[in-house]
Amino acid sequence: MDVQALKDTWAEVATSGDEVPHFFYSHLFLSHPETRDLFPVSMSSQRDKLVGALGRVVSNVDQLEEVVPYLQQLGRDHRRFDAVADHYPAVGASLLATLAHFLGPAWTPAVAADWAAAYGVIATVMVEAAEESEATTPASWTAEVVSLDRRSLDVAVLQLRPTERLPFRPGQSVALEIPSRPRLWRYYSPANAPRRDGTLELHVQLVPGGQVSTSVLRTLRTGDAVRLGAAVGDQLVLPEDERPDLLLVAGGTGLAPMRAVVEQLAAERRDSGDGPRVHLFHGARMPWNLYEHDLLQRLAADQPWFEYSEVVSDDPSHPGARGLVGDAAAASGAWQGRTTMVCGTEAMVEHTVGALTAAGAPPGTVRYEQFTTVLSGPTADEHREAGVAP
Amino acid sequence: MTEQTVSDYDLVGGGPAVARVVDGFYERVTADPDLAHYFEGVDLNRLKRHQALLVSQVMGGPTAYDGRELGVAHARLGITDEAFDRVVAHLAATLQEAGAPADVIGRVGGALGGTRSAIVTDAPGAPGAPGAP
Repeated sequence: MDVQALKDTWAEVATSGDEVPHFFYSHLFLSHPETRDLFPVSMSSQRDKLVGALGRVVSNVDQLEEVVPYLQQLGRDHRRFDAVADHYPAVGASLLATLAHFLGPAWTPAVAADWAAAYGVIATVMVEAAEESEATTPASWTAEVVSLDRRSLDVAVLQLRPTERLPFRPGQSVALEIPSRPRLWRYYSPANAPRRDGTLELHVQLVPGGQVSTSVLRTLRTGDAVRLGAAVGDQLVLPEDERPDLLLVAGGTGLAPMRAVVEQLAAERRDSGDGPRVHLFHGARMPWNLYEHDLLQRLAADQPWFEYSEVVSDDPSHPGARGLVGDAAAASGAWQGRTTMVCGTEAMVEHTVGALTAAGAPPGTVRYEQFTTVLSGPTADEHREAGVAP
Repeated sequence: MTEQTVSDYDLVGGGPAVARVVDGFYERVTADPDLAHYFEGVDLNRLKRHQALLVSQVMGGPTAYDGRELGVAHARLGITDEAFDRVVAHLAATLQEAGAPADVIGRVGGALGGTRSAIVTDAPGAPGAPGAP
């Protein structure tokens, strides 16, 4: 397989911009109309999601080893779309037709064969993982809204009780669909370590114009049934076998996966009496969006291993630390000798990683989710909405 | 499905828009060396008129198709699955260029998908193919 040819041809196709997903979806819906039901009624938010991610993953098939666990998670996650295994060939055929259309004469039999082979590898990883999970978990989970607490002007905290246990690790995300916005799935991170009663806590940041977040606040009620997908994500998850000291940097509801990790470490420490040191920075535009202030202040006062710092960016009268949370975290030097995890909007993550790198943090020590590099990850707008890292 | 007050036909711009898309579509298929031979000696203007009427009917427009039944019209052309797929790609390109909305394309696809079995005759196991029951 000529991987360089895959990368070159994808770069060439990508120069056609929005025309690429438009052709792809036209082709997919014309050749396989039954796939239309997998996508939202309004396609505007879907545009650059599937085909962009597909092109990137397939053309980077030489780095497959690194993304296999993530592709497996996505394969399991995709079971929430009905009969999804049947649709992999349809999606593959339309991907190839799209490439053929935009590459013209550059779409040679050799290039075509390489793309087909690379797509086959990716699809096989995902389908196999999905099939293996069929024995143990449902395709998607129904969960009851136990409570909905408007924590501030912009933040709501949802408690959900899945009817069947939904396995996840602290730091992962799950896709959520609410009844009033069918097929508009958004990824949210549980803010808790797995609980005995199986309930999940999600933090929803209101995004002006966000189709899902505004509906969560306006239409979702206690007792409603929502749907959840299988857990995905590996960058904000602690490794199985080591517990490095941590610097956690969160913007807005990007705090959720960080809180889950802190809960996990607190529980482990209760059992073993030992564990890493943790310094958590939480940044918000306005002070009222430091919505876990009380809980985290109390934890910091009680637990010598845990430090908590708040930073407010848009309120000049704020008496505490002001500025961007990434700058504050970088200036603190707390990244030295620690693993750093970053979660927030795309802009926040980009800025924070840049600030830490400029301050001297070794690149391999800074972790954040890159959902946009893999299949069907949320778009930048949805990251903003979900408050998870891009 | 929510109540539909505006037909897809009106939504995309009615007769003139459909005529443009149909013209663009036939420009593409007749320029394709793998498809051109299907159109040799065919009265393209008549074909376009029939196609526009068919599209109008499928999309809830004011006029209805009055040509031959699709299976009959394509029966002697020996159309392969590959040729049908190429036509789908040309239609996708035409609709992409025209900026047609995805939900309209989805409904057109639903109508088109149902015609494959009537149109493709040169396929293993297709009605009329050698060896088919």
